[in-house]
Amino acid sequence: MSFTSLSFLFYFLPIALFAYAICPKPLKKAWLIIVSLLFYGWMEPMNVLYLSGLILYAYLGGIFIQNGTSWKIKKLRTWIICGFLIFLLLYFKYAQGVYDALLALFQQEFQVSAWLMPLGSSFILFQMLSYFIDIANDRCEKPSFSDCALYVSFFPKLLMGPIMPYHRFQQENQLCALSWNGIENGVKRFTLGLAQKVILADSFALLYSALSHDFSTLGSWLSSFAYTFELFFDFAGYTNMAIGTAMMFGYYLTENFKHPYRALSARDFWRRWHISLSTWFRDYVYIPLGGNRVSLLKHIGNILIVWLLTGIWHGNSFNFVLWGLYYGILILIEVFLPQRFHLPKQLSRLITFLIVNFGWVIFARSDLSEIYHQLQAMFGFNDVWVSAQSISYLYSSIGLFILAGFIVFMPVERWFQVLINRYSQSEFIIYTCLLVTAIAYLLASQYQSFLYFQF
Amino acid sequence: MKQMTRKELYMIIVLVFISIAIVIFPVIKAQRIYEYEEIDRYFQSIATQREMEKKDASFLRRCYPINPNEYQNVQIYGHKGAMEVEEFAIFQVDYANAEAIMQVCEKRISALKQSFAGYGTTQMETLEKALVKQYGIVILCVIGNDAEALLKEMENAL
Repeated sequence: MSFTSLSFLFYFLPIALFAYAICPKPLKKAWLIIVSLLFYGWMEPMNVLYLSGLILYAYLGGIFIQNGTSWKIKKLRTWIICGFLIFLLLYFKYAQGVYDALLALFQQEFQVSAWLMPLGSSFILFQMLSYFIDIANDRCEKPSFSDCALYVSFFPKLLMGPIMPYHRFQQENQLCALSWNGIENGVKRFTLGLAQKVILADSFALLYSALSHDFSTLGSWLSSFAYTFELFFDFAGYTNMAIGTAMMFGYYLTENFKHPYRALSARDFWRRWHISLSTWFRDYVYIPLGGNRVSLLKHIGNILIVWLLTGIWHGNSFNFVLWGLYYGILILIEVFLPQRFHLPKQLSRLITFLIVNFGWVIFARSDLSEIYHQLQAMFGFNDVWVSAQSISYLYSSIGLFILAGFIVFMPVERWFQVLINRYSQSEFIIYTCLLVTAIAYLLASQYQSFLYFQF
Repeated sequence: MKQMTRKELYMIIVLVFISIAIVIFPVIKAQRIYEYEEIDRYFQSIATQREMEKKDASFLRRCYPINPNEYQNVQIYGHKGAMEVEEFAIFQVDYANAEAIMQVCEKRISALKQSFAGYGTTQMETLEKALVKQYGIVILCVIGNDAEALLKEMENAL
């Protein structure tokens, strides 16, 4: 089930929330687990069994690790238990590719649609890995079955994160309680996310699909900007909806975005974009590998390993590996190149935005020749500078680009706060208008899935 | 290993069984229910992106000669030009009529093949890739170079 489906907005969420509110306290967690299973299994009932299997595996695996009598045994058990999850991730992401390659090699035509990765697996499995590592490192208390089940299955963060480590989820939600204030803030946050997704991201999605094969210079720049904005509003919109939904139920989820396109460098960008994933890699891969407290060569290796894994996490096609290495190299340059001069802030921002934009060109296309053609066109090494199509889309979408640029680059939140402080009624009016517009868009628009669902 | 109790041994066995089940569950694809409106919305968005238009009742009568009692809903998207064969037809049917509708779709593809045989090389290539598939109570006839990819994407998206 998707946050933007009408059945979620008008039936699932209100019913789940109302039942949660009237549910006796000891049964609240159980109700949330049931709701989460329903949410996951809505379109594919077999997913309920898959998620239940993962919950059982997490609970028993956690006990198995905790029962280790020495650190050595605990470590061995953690490797075994986590090893299966890593295998599962690789199996879902790569088995189909290997199978297809084998069929092509032996020129067979037999096809099965066996390896369809269940939605959100990359997110769920990464959270489970953090759960096992936290238990092995005694970073959390012995979890009860309901705590463990809720952590694995909690529906707001199930499909696209944020990836919250178990110890943080426990710490932040020890005193969670349903409140009017929480519901009010949750609805506001959800509305903001819904508007970002259906008004902005979906409009950019249509623009991108219309221009993605226009390899004129103008068309290539427009399509790259369209994708850059689409991805941000799509993912940030989903995260806002996830955080908002969790708030309504009295839970806190970690933030995932902090104005990423206002970053001053590639490293700064990754402190602001998909924060939960970069924090996960920092805490569970980079630091255990030794981080920067090792020899120079090993430090370089650690950075490249982390970025290679970040790329691989996103998908099984080569462009993701390339995209991961692109950032690995950029960050290496930033870390090791002596910074003798400082550019003005606005110029750094612009350069970083363009660097990120080129990164998304690699990210968006699995066909390497298309990446090459687009980059070539963007730098003007193409016969066609302007196509009739790109000109017409530029005229029709200039307003959309200006609006997106304004939201992304300007401190809109601060201005909004000033406005609310001055006119307290304006908040209610603005959010109501946003919600009504978003629902109108939702009813009128065509289906657009979330981009990160594929991961 | 010496420290391993009987309880832990049972736990390992259970964990192994769960692991196997986790690998197998997603492979056993449940016979899921696809909603006609959802599929239509999906193909409508694809059709808009490709500048295809909704075909009217006369097109349906001419190209898909079906008794109106045999389906509950239908939507056809195609191009304006007669030389473009790309087409999506989405039917909502009763299970009993599914086979008949599928046959009509196959006939539509054969008819197009006949009209382009011998001279329309690109059209023939597209037609060779056409697919007719049943999703519960929805029958889909997808004529397009990327028919297989489209169906796969739809399965993932919905």
